[in-house]
Amino acid sequence: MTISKDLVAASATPLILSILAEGDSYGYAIIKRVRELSGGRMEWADGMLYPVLHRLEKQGFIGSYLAKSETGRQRRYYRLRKSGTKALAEHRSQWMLVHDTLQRLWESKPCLT
Amino acid sequence: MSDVERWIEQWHSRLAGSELLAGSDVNEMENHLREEMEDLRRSGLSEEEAFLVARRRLGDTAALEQEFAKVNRHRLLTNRLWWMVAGVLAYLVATHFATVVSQVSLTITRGTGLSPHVLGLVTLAVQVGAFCVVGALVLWLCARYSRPGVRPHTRISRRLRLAFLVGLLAETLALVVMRMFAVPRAITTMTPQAYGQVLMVQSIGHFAWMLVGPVLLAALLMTMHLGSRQKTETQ
Repeated sequence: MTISKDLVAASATPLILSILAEGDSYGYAIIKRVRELSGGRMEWADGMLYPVLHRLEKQGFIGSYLAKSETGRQRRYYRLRKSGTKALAEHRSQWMLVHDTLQRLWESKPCLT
Repeated sequence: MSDVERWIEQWHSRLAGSELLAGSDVNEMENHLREEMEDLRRSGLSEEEAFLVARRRLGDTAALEQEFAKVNRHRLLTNRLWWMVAGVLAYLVATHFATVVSQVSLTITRGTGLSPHVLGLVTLAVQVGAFCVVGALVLWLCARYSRPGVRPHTRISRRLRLAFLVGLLAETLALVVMRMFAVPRAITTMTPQAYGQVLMVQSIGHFAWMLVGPVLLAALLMTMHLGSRQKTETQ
């Protein structure tokens, strides 16, 4: 199932922030984690991740640092900052509200009595 | 170098040429591409297949540029500024070069017994010619080394860049030498009146350029602008 472009754009920020809340990570690992969590059903164009990461960095939600990988490759790692944690909580409550609302609509069964 | 390495290099330089992506952005994505390729290789794909799949997953270049444009707006601005500064530099260098060459031509011709007015015209013609030569050279260099959205200096070799710097230094030196030796010599060897007449003719030429130059350039800018607008409308 392909997810609409708008929904991908809207969910990218909370997804990235949530993954970084689990620990510092880098681009390719974040994409792999999304794939793994969604069972491969959520496919972004991988490259789209980087502009979002850079925007979040500019907004001060995440920070970045360079470090060597096990294979000696230079990687840019990202970590969640305090304001990012706050932003994530805000995103979370908004998504839960939308989720609850839709859930109620879709799960309500016609009353037969 | 293997075919795949060459493909990666081509992919890298295509992205690096974009005015919207920084070098570090491209390196980060190349790392991504390589890691994805390693994983795909482990799952049994050939190197060529791994490259094709990984590149496709990263997304096509036009879409990437569009996404990066949203966060890298200041890059676009600095890029435009780069071109403006380069244009001003080219103009200054061409002007200085033309002045030096014109002064040299005066040194050569002033002993020929020509009248000061003719000397003025000759040196003015030399000046305009030298300016046009440098202008043509700059245009040729731009056409030779630039592609859409690519700054030429990212594509020229280090040796050519060094040659450019040396040329700039030589031009500045020539300007200093001219001011210190050629001009005082011209003033002292010619009668003040004759030198004044030479300068008069030259200054008429300069004044004509001051009047016509802006009009010509404005007309050029406006027709170029119209051309690009028509192109976007037909798309």
